[in-house]
Amino acid sequence: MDYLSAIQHVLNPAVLLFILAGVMVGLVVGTLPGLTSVMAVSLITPLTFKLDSTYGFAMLLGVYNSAIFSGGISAIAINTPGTPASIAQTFDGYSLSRRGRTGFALGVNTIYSVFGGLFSTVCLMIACEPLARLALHFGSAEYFWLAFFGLAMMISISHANVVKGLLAGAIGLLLSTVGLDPLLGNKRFTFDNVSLLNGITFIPVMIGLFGISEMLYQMYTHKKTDERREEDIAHMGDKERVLPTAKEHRRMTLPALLGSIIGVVVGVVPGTGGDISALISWDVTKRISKHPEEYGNGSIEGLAATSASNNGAVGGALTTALALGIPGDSSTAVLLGALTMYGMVTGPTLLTKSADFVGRLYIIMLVANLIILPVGLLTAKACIKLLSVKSNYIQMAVLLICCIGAYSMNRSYTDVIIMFIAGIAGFFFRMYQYPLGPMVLGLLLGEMCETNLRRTLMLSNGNPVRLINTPIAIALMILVVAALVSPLISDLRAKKKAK
Amino acid sequence: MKKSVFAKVMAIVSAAAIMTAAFSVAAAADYPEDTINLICHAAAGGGSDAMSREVAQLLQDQQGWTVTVENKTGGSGSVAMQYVMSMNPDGYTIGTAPVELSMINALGYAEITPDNVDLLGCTMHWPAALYVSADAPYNNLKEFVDYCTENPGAISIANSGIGSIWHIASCVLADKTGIEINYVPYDGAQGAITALLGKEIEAAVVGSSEGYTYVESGDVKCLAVFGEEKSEVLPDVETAIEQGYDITVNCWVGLLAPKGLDEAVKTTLVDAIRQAVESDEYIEFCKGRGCDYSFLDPDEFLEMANADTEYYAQLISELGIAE
Repeated sequence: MDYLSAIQHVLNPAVLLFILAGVMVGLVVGTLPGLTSVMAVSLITPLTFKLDSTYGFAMLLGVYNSAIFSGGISAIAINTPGTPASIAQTFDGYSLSRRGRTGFALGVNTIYSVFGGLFSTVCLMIACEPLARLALHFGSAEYFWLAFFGLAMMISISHANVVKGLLAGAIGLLLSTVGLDPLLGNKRFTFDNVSLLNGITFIPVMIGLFGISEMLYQMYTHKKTDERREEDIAHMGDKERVLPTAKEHRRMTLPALLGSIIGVVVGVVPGTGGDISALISWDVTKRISKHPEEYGNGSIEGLAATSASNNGAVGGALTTALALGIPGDSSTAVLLGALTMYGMVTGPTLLTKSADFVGRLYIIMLVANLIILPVGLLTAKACIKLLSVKSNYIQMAVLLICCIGAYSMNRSYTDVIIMFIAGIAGFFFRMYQYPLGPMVLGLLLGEMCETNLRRTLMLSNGNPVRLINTPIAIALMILVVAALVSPLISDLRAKKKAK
Repeated sequence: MKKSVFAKVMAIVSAAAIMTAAFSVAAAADYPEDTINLICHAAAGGGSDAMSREVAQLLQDQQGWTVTVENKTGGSGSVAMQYVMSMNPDGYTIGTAPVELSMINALGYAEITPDNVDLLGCTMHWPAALYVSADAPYNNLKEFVDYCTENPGAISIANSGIGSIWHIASCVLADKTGIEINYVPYDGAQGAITALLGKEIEAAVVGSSEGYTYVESGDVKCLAVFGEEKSEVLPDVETAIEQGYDITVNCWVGLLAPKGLDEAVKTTLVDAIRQAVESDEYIEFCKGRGCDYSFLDPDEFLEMANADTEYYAQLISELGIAE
């Protein structure tokens, strides 16, 4: 591939300006909960048709990368994931923020999002075709195990109370069965309501469970939190700091690298993206960390891994999209649509027929990530000011933003009602210390797990051996078993030691 | 006295009636004075969404109208269509009419049939096609049917979801050839093609436009197109009819409005849509996606939709889908 001419093409002021414009749009849309990267990309797409294809894609890729990165901003600052890809970032990011380290957490998010983005772009550049072919080995059985592995994480995100966590997870799984049966098409728990045919819309539930319930809980415990916050801020002498120290970087590099690799692999697999990859990265890096007890409680490693992982999935998703014409996630589906609008034929012939364009696209990816770095760090500096705003104002603003977000998804008031129901339920969950993470996992992965298990059995006429007759499936199964058994073993060990 | 009150009331009423009539005529003549909302049943990014946005853009360029596209997904299109049907038939809210319009009633998802809406025209359609792995032992529909007859139940065919148009298409294939196949639903046509590329499954019935690039790259081969004529994107593949099997299944997308649209408004809309769909830009757009682009006017569209509704209702009840 001729990178020299691609670089010449991209490093012209107009293209750079379009990338910057895209990054700014992505920043706004990604930060607002409910406005997802998919929406951002599809809203911008028609605007770009009047432009030259390079300019158009400069803008679109800027939006895409930056929306995934900035979803983390609201996850960190107000505990509401801006896009589903940032769910895992709330675990540690928000805890850091509560301790007055908002600026620092946002700095980590920026640096390691860019890290993940660049890593995945390099993977895309050197191994686009082979990586995409690898993704084809992911059949129904493999999807089932992957989803099951994700569900097994319910244990590790339940913190101390596994029973309560599993109960919450079961509720999530139950909710995921609402809607049309994914394989047979009959109605389940829809109560003849047309809006429920497609199941419970995930994003309003997510916004409710995280954002609304957190704000309700803060209002409920109003006095205490304000005191605690002031105490925390007083203790935290370096609240103005955005950049991590060299020592902190050393702790975060390995988790971030692992997160990026997981991001690329999960991103490459069609139909799975940054949401799942970030969750898995959080879990995997927790297992190998020297400080697993910090995870979920403001671990910088956990935050770095998840920040890197969801942006890593961007390059991964593009890999399958460019090499095979199969969208890796919904945003890349829109991007593929845009490519056809520019008159390019997507599919396995794209890499050879439009090699020049693909080369430019790689360079745009690199530049877009590099532009995110200064933009993100400046935003982090500005966000520190949030700490000095009275919490009443923040709470009202967040409630308002959540309502707008839930409504604009589908312009539906039903979604706003769903959001509030989820928010009130989430409030009681918090009050009685039921962890919310497992419930979100159940809702996010339940259908994927169910559909692929049933599909595998349909393919083999009911013979379960098909679930484990490929190497990838067996490897994933071992991971699942390990994830389920390892807490039991470590429990036993701890008990022996105590004796 | 009584009479004069009655007369006064009558006079007011009739004046009001005349004025309303006058206004509605004026409204029709001035249509559109405001933004037109186009409700798309599919999520942003798919073929139907792209079509909506292309038509909206063309209406803007050619007529100077402002048309915004909104996506309301769910229930095989019933969420969007029910929303459009609940709006005022003033021409300011129109929507996409997916092929599912002819199926969701029979599937029991919602009570919507082509007669419940005012169809504005069919804007795009493309046939189903049977794809198999490139190294499969059969090279045409006859060999495939023979293979299936010799090995009943051995072949699984991927489709884009139970009750979707491509599932119906594989049912029609089995129905008309008498073969026994195992239907496996995937998440959309893309999912079905991916499974075929990964060799998880032997065959897939999806749209011609959704698989032709993999034929060019040599990953899969197409055994038959279920259209009336050969597809432009698969010029070497014979139709099922040419191979001696009476199978035609087409997916279509059009536009609709709530029932009771004013005739003048409807004419304005239909003419504008026709002009958009017959423009070179639109034809280019369809060609790029491997779709056919002949415009069907509301009557032709209704006829086709009703014929499909009847056929699919019979098929769906025979096959016992969604029960």
